[in-house]
Amino acid sequence: MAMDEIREISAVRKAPNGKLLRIKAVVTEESIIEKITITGDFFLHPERLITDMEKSLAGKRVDDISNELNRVLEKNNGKLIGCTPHDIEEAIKEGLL
Amino acid sequence: MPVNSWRMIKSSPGIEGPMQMAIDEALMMAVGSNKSAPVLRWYSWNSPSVAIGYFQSLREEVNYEQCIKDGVEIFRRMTGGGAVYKYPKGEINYSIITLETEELHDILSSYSILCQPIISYLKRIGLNAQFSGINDIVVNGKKISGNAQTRMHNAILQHGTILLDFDVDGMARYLKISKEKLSDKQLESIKDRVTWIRKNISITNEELMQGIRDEYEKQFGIKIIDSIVSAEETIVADRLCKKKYATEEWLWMR
Repeated sequence: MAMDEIREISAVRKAPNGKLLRIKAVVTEESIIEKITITGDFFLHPERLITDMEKSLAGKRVDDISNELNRVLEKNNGKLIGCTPHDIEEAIKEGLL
Repeated sequence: MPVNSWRMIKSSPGIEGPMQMAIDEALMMAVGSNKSAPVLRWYSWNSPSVAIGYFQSLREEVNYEQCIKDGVEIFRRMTGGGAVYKYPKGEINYSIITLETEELHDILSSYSILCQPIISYLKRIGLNAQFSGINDIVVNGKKISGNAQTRMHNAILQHGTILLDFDVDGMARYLKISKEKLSDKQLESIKDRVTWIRKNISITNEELMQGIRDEYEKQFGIKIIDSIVSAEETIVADRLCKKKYATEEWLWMR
């Protein structure tokens, strides 16, 4: 049986009326995220939450990015400013096209 | 604003970027633990440098090799937002460190509240300034000031840049503005979206600092007293600089 094909994605998205996202991700053929790094000129309070957000996405489906990030933000009372979890999910989806 | 006496600190331009960040955090610790009144701090630069935002990738945003070749220092802020090319004549930086009051609790509206005295001052010297978007001040729609906030140690830090001059060539040399090599036409287009105080107005840094100080006093109903970074704050800042802001780990965090 063939191993899952792994894709390395480099995605850039300007959030509508917001900031620029630059995302690097490793995604399997089944659209499962292995690793993701979310960078850009957005704001997140508290800042260190970015690590939890990235870790929480490992093993999740691309379609679940937005829900998962909203869950982490809500749980930690995080505030993402200049982009939304939806923008992050869309950036990855565009990168997969 | 509940605290009616603030400190104003004019930091030496000879201090490097990582230490400037460390001073901001040390002051947050002092203000947040009620050891210090809120602070309005000013700083500028003796030599060119590049500041990147907390969440930015250094490799993606900065022409690292060019910076190293030309001796341009790179440092990472503790605040989000974008990369900025800084040079001695180009700008003056301010930091406000205050407590997280109810009025400033909402992050988005607090940007506008804390920028308002700067906007009033720019208007006073004849510039049609207003707050724009999330964290900018614009004059006739062109950006003149970018601002960024963090909240930790029970305090708020808002620091920002007020452009005095603009070097689009330097910016294109040290920052990766787009994937494609920038053409002259694109450089002109960046220049069209930005403006700076000394484009039309002759003003000294001292006049600007005092003018903005007056506006903060008037609008916030506070008295601002000249101050310096204390010996204790300097010790904390030194430690933060060595253990955090001046480390390779922090610089290459993302």
